[in-house]
Amino acid sequence: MFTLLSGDVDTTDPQMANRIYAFRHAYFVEHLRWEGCRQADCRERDRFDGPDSFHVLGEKGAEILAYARLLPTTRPHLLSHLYPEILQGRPAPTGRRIYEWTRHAVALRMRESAMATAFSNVVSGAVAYAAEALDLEGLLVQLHPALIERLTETGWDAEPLALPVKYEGSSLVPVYARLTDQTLQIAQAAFAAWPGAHLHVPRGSMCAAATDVPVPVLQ
Amino acid sequence: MKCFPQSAFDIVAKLRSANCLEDILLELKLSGRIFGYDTFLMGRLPRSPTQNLLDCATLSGWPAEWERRYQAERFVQVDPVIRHIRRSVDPFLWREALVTPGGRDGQIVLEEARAFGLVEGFCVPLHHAGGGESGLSFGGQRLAPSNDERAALHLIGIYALSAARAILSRAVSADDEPPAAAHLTGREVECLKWSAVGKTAWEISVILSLSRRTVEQYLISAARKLGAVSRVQSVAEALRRGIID
Repeated sequence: MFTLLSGDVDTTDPQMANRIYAFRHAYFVEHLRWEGCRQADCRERDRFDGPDSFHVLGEKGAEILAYARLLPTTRPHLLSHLYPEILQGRPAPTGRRIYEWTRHAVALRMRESAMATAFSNVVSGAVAYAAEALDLEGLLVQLHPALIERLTETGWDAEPLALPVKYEGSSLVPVYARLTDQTLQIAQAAFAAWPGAHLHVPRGSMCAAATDVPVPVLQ
Repeated sequence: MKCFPQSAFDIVAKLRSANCLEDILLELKLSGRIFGYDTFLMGRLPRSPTQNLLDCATLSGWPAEWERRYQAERFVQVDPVIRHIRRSVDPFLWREALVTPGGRDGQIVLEEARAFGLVEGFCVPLHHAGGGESGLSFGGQRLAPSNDERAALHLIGIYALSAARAILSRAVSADDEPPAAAHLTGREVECLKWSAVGKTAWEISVILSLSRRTVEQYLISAARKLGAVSRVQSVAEALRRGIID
């Protein structure tokens, strides 16, 4: 039901890539009203998407139920290049074993169901297994402070990197979520409680963590 | 005080490694000296019209006289701060809670609080996945936090609430030393069982044909024997030890 896809899906499976970007547009632009991300072709893909990123995709048949994007921190990512000011001058960890967890989405009908919390735990579990498959130490996340509890409840060791600030009208705080044994234990329990839950990791993804390259300045 | 942001991160680090409610209590008391609040109250919001303060409070630094007054008047059911927690995911000053619809009805609560040194306050709400809300209120003679201080208290509040919740819901691990037997009496266990299913002291007194005062005494002595700082914690501890299920 969950798959870890490398960012080169744009070239290796354009149909799949199309479905992903269409889902993202429907969710983030139409539903969450992120007008800044609106695209004429209704495909939400930005300058950070590329062959070095990863998609965590949760599907039931043809329907996408959950999604997350992981960006390498050794290249431009949201915290380094979209809104570095939210760090307020404080440092953020980067490196080959640290990715950034972005575009987290759970389909509306799963969020409104009686099983919403259980499914949310499964999605967090899928991201945890993806991080483990990529041999990561942890993930950068930027989120509303109220969601920190969701991270800690699902076993992530969430360290705040700066004080919360207002960003586009909402409170936002950058956090470093370390992957721990507890994260994986809770992932295991969440998967066990959800029939059919499994993360498929195609061969070749395991060694695909980004190499150390200097972060280029974007024009 | 320009060095306070680092203090906020130091406090959060301690809260992240808190193992018991007393650790959280200590950190929140120390944090008051930095951020200028005199006291605080952490608790879950009432889930029924019969619940009162003692059924909801997890950690309380409130003056005892104010707690007694608040409990006696059942202010938990009309407090505008509590009403506002239900409507807001962002922290707020107590006086901002008066602005919400119906907020004026509970104004008496804030007015009476002033007599006990709780003149101004700041509240951090937390809405839980799956339902229910909690809040951590900081109060004192004067509390007018700057934007940065509000952000710091927001972060501290979230981590304190999250740590308390984790401590209260932690299952017994196989490696834990079995705690010294609590030697609860039959009546104490009975009262805890009813409290665990959401009954108030008054309701328990009716069920067991005892006076309310007697029930409260049983709950207080049970809490003391379990090493709990609140009724909420004594229920959690009794569940954890398998004294009730």
